[in-house]
Amino acid sequence: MRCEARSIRRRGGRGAFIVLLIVMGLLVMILPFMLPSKGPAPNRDGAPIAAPTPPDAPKPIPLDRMEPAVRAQFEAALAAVERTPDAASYGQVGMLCQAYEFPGIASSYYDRAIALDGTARRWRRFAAMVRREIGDLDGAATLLDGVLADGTPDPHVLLLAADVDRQQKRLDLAEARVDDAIAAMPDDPAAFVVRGQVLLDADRLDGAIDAFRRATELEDRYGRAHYMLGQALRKAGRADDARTHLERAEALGSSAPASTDPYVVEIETLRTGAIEFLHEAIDRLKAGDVDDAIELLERSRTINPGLAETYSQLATAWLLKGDVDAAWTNVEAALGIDPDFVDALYHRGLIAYRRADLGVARAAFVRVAALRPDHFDAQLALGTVCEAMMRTEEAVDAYEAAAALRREDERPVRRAVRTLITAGRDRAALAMAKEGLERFPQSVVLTERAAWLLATSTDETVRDVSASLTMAEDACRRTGFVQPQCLRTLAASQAANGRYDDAMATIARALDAIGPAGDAATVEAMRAERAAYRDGRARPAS
Amino acid sequence: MPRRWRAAAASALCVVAGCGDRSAPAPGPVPGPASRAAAPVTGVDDVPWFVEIAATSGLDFRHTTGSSGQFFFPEISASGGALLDYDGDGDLDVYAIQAYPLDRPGTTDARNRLYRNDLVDGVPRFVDVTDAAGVGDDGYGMGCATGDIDNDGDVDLFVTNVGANMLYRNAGDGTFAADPDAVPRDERWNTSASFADYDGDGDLDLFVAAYVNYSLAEHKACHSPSGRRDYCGPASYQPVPDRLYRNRGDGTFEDVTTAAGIDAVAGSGLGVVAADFDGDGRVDFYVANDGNANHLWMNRGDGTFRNEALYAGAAYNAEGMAEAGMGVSAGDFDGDDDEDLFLSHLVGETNTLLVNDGRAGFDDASDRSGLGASSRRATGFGTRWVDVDGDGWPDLFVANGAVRLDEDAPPGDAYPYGQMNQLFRNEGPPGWVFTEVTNRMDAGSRRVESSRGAAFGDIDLDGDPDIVVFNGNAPVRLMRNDVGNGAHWLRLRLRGTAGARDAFGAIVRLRDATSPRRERVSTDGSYCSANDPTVRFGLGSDDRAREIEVTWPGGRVERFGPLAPDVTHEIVEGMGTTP
Repeated sequence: MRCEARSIRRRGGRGAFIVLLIVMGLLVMILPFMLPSKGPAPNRDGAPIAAPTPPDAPKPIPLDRMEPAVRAQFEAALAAVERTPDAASYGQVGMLCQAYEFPGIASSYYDRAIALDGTARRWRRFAAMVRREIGDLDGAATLLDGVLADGTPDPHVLLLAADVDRQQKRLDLAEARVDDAIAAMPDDPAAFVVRGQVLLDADRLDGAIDAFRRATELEDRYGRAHYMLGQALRKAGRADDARTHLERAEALGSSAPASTDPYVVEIETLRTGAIEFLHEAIDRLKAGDVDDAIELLERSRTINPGLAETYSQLATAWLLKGDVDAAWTNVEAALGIDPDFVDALYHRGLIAYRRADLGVARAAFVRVAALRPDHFDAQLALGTVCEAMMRTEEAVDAYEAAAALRREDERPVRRAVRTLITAGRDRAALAMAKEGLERFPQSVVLTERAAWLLATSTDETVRDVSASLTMAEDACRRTGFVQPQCLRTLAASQAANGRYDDAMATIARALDAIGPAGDAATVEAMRAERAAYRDGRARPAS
Repeated sequence: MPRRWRAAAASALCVVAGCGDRSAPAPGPVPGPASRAAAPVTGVDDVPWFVEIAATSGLDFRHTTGSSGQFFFPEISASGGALLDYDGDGDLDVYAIQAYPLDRPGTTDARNRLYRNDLVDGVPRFVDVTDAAGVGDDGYGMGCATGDIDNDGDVDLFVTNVGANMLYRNAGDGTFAADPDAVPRDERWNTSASFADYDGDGDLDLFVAAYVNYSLAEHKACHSPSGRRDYCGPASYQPVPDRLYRNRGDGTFEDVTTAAGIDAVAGSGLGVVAADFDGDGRVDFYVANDGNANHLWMNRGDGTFRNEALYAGAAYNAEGMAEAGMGVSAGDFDGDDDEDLFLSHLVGETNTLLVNDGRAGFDDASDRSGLGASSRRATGFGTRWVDVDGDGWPDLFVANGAVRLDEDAPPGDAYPYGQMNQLFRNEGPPGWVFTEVTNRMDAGSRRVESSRGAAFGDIDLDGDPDIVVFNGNAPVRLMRNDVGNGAHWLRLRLRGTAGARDAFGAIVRLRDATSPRRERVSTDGSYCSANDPTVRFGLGSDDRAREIEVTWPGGRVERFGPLAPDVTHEIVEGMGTTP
């Protein structure tokens, strides 16, 4: 049936073709008079039906749908066409169209450029890129064949051509071209991915697996390569190996190394609008205009969805607005583009900490610290997370690293002392506090912490009740005898020196100062201490 | 005489019992409309494959997105519709989903519409019966699903909205009763839905895809690549989990999403299809997600599902990239007796063909099938495997429409989201490549409009599938199939007796075919739309009576026939012979 229908179609087709030629000829003659001057002809219901465009007339550019900054770029380029209607001018407009995702219009400008200068490889190269993008594989192949025949083959052109050849099922040619590209760029993971795809289509599964695996060896964070390797392994029946790579791919997202093709880079740099919006958004964020910043960042994102920075700033903005889920989405988007984007990793850590997902938070901060050992905030946050996870050594290491990075900041030392006290390592805590006091002699917190240790430690080598009293009184004096923790420490010091009545009065004052809104556990502990002092004991029974 | 008891004018219905009704008359091909009688039925080059006839058939529905100028996200996503025989008269009626200005609800009388098909001599004539039938849902409509949820012999209707959905229970007398409590209320943005008996208890359960966490209060401003205000994409909002509802047996449903494991992962769901992808006899679900990994919910047989998409090769395209899944269809396009998947995607991406290895392992064959490159220039929505030319191999129609400002829209176009729909012919074995035959459709079928849903079924009962296309901000289009007129066909309505009456999921295999061919009973797939559940085999020039084998839900296998071609047969479970 199928063959019969086809033979009928061929016979019928010849006659129809002649009729079609006649009709087309008539249309060419009368269309200019039938069609309105702009846009396709409407059909009877008002919906436009696509009208033919003269082959050498570039398509109209929808300037009315552009931001002023983008429109200015186009208007300048179109003015150049008016002044000097040569291949370079048309080609430049084509590049702008390509950059702002008007591939069909770009193609029409490149066609014009090629018509004006058939020897210019540059415009055929760009034209091939957009033809491939809009699915015109024949057009792309013709252009690429021409470019490759014209001189020393560029490995990036070879790769592009190989991919087009693959889609056109010219697999031998595709393989030869990709191998030539690999010979020129032996460390390019993207080239090995194309080779894998070619071999996969040629049903050479083992070769495809080798190629994909080589791509992942060259770039371990190449999520797409891991995915393709995983799928190839699945087809080969190697289930466990497949799962490993598929899970790795899922963790990495659709990440791929940035293109090194200079033509691609050239197009990307034309899209300056996104950067402008991004910079303006950062300024708005600094000024506290979060909503404005978000709108600008969304503009940046839609103009160029490949900027990890945009997503990272969006995460910051949404965190400021308190929308943790939106922040998380943007963090993950940023990391999908660049898994080592430090700001996004840092935000991932912050959000995970906020969600009490301490493992994820720690991993994120560890990664930031590895990538940027000078990242003070990450070291400080890593200390905090590790402290919460009771990973005392790691927390103290992180705090010490933070303290080393910013010697004028007291917070890492205070937190390290806190961590050591919580872990019961009084001697180390006291040493840390004293060391801190050498650097921050006016620090009330460190003075108070040291006084606490000197008064309450069970380690006799640490305790020094007399020194404790002096330091506690000093801390309270400097805070006007109203700071509850200072008063509590002073009470402990007084009790340690046998002054239980003073201790009871001081702890009562501390309880008054902390008020009903105080932390319940702290209040409870202070009440227990008051009871101990009433009983003539320096510390509550443990 | 009530319409439901009137004989369908253009269809001979043959109830098959026991070993098949061999004594049934074998009428020739159902004659088409007089206007097409002169068309040479064998010279397919000489006639348009499809002719658009909505206006002349009385199908005057015009969709409005309610565009506000604020670019509210749902405006660019709506809507679909259904082909269903609501009055049981044997022909297909049309249900069209409507929207309204999102920021001004209640300011228009926009409602969904039901059009009854009064088929006369093979010519469809549609009459608006919305008010009489009581199905004028006034939610911000997205899609619908159809099925006989209470096994009472008539088709019920479930409407999905941006906001609360609604179940319309068919009373069997040409009217429906809205039942807002039948399905647990879900105020989210719901899209496509599928009726399927996932737990094998003899009634239809319901899977509802949900899109993103959107509300007007959280509306965001987005822009086109060149900076003008435009509609957002799904990345601007949080994806959400889909929902699964279990039929309690009385036509009411309970939410089993969590118990079934469906909320283990979120996605921006737009398309859903139920099928048995690994051949284990259990209903699985596949969800096309927009911009994030698709889900393949494999039925574990204990009321729970596990998402196996990543490992199965069905989460991403061949390059490991999540695509903008819109519409989806499952069917056996290559005659190897399993369910292959076709997904429609965003401009710049390919539509994707996922070929099943029979064990729910998929291989992306978009490029080698020829379906990849040809789809890069459009954004696809409604789609379905459907044998339009009657040669036995499922072809593909894709309803296209942009979601971002389209570069080809002329300056000043008030709604610059139009794109031409596409038709692809399956060239069959051995290459299984597809050839674009869009230009074989008439000019009316090639309008540049913003198409969304598409529903498929034989509206004029001439044995070939017609298509209803639901456009955003434009009239609905009815594409009458004229290319299949010369081919013989076999049309089957299945009725379950042991399981759900609709027999959704039953597999029908055509025996003694040169290549194995099968069809599945279903109404789901496409985009936010519901299709004719009737099974149809194109037989080409082969006019022999044919035998079929049916695998019913539950696993019973029966044979029926030989069945005369060019006739609609009713196939009843338990009335066949056991092989």
